[in-house]
Amino acid sequence: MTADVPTLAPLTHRMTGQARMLAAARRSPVDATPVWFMRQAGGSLPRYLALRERHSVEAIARTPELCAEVSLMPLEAYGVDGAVMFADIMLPVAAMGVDLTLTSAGPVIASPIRSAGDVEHLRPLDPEADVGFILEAIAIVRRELAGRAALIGLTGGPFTLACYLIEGGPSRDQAIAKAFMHREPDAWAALMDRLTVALSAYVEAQIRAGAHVIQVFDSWVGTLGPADYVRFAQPYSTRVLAAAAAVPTIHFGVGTAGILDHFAAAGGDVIGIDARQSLAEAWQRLGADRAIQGNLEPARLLAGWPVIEAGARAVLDEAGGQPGHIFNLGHAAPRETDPGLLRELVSFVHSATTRQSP
Amino acid sequence: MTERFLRACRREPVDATPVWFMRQAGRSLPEYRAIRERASLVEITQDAALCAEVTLQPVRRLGVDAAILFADITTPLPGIGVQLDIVDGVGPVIERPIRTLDDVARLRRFDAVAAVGPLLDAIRLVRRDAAVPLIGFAGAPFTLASYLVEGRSSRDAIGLKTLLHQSPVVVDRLMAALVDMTLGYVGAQVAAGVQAVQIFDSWVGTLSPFDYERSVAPHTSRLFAGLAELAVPTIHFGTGSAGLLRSMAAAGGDVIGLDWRIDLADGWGLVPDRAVQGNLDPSLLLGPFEAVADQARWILGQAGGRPGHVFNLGHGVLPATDPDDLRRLVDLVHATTARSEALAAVEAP
Repeated sequence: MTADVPTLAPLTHRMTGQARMLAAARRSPVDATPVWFMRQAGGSLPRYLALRERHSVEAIARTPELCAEVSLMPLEAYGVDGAVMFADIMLPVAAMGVDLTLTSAGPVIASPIRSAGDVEHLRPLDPEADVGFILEAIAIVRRELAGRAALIGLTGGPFTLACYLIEGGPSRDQAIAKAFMHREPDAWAALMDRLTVALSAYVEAQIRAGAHVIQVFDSWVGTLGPADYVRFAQPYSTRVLAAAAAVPTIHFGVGTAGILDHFAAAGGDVIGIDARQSLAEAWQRLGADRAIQGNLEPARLLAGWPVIEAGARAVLDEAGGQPGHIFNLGHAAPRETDPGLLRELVSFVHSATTRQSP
Repeated sequence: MTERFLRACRREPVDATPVWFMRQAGRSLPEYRAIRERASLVEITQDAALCAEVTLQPVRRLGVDAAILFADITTPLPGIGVQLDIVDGVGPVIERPIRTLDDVARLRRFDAVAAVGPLLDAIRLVRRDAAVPLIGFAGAPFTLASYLVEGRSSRDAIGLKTLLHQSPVVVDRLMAALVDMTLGYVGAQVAAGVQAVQIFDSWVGTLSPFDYERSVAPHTSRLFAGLAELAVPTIHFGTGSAGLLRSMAAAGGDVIGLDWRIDLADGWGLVPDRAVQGNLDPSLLLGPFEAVADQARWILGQAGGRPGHVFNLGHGVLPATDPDDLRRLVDLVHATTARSEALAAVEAP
C-alpha cells in the first residue's frame, strides 16, 4: 500500500492503520492485525487528565476542537489503527429533548419514559443542528488523521438507548424496560421507531462528516432472550446498520453468546464479541462472510504485562491468522488502565501478526 | 407424581414437566414478608422451625414440584471464620475481604453441625412435612470467592479476576478451601435429608472460557466429583453462561441450569447427554401474564417433551413478582405437558 503517508507504525508495516482497519473489515488480507480499544479516548491518558482539570466531560464532548483532540490522543499514545470518537452514546438522545446528566456511573435521566405519552415528547433529531459539534469534531479528526488510522464513528443501539430512557440510568437486568416492552408493545415500538429514525440520521451524518467505519454499541442486548431479541430489538438494529451501509459497520454487543445468530442477522460487516465466548467458536458460528472483532478480557489490563500478553496470544491463536480479525478488548478498557500497557499491547499484536504486505 | 422432579433430573419419563423456581421462598410471598418483619434472613436460617416454614411456604402456595432449602449462598461462610453481614438492598457484606495467602490460611476447617446445625434440623423438619423432594444448595467456588474477595456482590467480579491474574496461587488456594468447605456443607445437607443439590455459579458468566477452563474448572470439577459420591442428582447453574456451557457440563452436573439468554434447544444441544433446567426470563413476570405464558409455551416447545427437562426461571424470582402469576405458571406448565402415568411408564427405557 502507500508508503508516502506518514505512519507511526514500525517500518516493517507498510499498510497505514486506516488501510489495515478497512481491509480487515472487508476480510481482505492485511500486513498485521489492526487494533483499537473501546473507550480508548479518555481514560487515564495523562494528556486527557490534564485537559479534564480545565474542562468537564460535557464541555469536551461539545467543543469540536477539544473533542477532536481527545479522540486523536490514542493514536500517538498507543499507535492504534482506529480512532474512535470521544462521544457518549446518549448525546443524540439529549438532543431529542431528554433531560439527562452524564455522571461517572453513567447517564441519569430526569424523567424516565414510562408511558406512550412520554414517547410522544421525543423530538426528531436534526443531526446538523442538534449535534453539529460532533460532526465538526469528526471533520477535524478526519483531517488530522490524514490516513494514519480509520475514523470510527459510533452510536448506541436502539435497544440499549431505550433501556437507559426507561430505566432512567444504568441497570443490571433492564427489568423495568423489559416489563414495559411486554406490557406496552405499541409504545415500545413507537419509542424504538423514533430512536431508529434518529440514530439512522445520526450515522448518516457522521459518514457525511468523514467517518470511515461505524460501530453500533448495543451493550445491553445480552439481557434479552433470543425470542425477545428477535421481536423487540433486532428489526430496529437492522435499520440503523442498513443506514450506515455506505461504510463498513461493526455490530457490538455484550453477553451475546446465546443470541449470536440473531444478533449477526441484524447486520454488521464485523461482529464485535465480548470476552465471555470463544472467538474461534463465535467466528465459526458467524461463518466466513463476517469479520470479527475482539475479544481480550479487559480485566487482564489491570494485572500486568505477562497476563495481558498471555491473553492476547490466546485471542490471536483463536483468530488463527484468518483475514477479517480486528483486535480489541471484549468491552471497554477499565478507566484505571496503565496507558503504557495499552501501547505495549498494540505493538505486541502488530508484531505477533506481521505478515508480508499483501 | 411426587417423584416427577427427581425422575426428570435422571432423564426418566414423567407424567408432566416438573417446575420449581429459584428464590421461590422469599420476598415475592406476603407470608415470607410477614416473617421478615420479625426476623432477619440470618435469624431465619438459625431457627430450624422458621427456616422449615419459609422453605415450605412456596410449596403450599405455588404448587411447585420441589422445595429448596431457604438459606443464603454465604450461610456456611461464618463456619470457616468469615465474618459477614447481610444488608438489606445490598446483600452479603464481608467484614475483611480476602486478598493474601495469609488471609486464606486463616480460614478454619468447616464443621457442619457447629456451623449450620439449625439448618440441618430444618432439613429434617421439611422432610417430615413436605410431599415434594427437597433441594439443597451451595455456591460454586468461583462465585463464593467473588464475594470473599470483592467483599460484596459485584457485577463484573473485576476485583476477583484481577487477583486471579495477579496472584493466581491465592485464588487457587481460596477456591480449594471453598471446595473442601462445600463438600462438608453439602454432605451434611444430604445426610440430613436433601434429595438433590443445586450448585449456584451465579457469577461464572463474567469469565472468559479461557480463564474458566484454566483456573476455575479444576475446582468445580473436584466439587462435582465429590458430590457424585453422595448419590443424589446435582444441578449445575450459572448465568450469562451461554459461552461456557460445554465447559461447565464437563465440570459436572446431572442437570445443567440455563439462564434465559439462550434458546433452551440450543443450550441443550451443547450438553446433549444431560438434563436441562430453565429458562424463563424472570423479568417477564413483572409484565402481563400473557407474555409469560407465550414464553413458557415457547420453552416447552423447545424441550419438545424430551425426558430430562425441569422447568424453572432463568434466574431467581424478582421480589416484585406477583405470586398468583407464579401459581398460574406452574399450572400452565403442568397442564401443557400432562401425559398419563401409563404412557410415561410405557416410554420408560
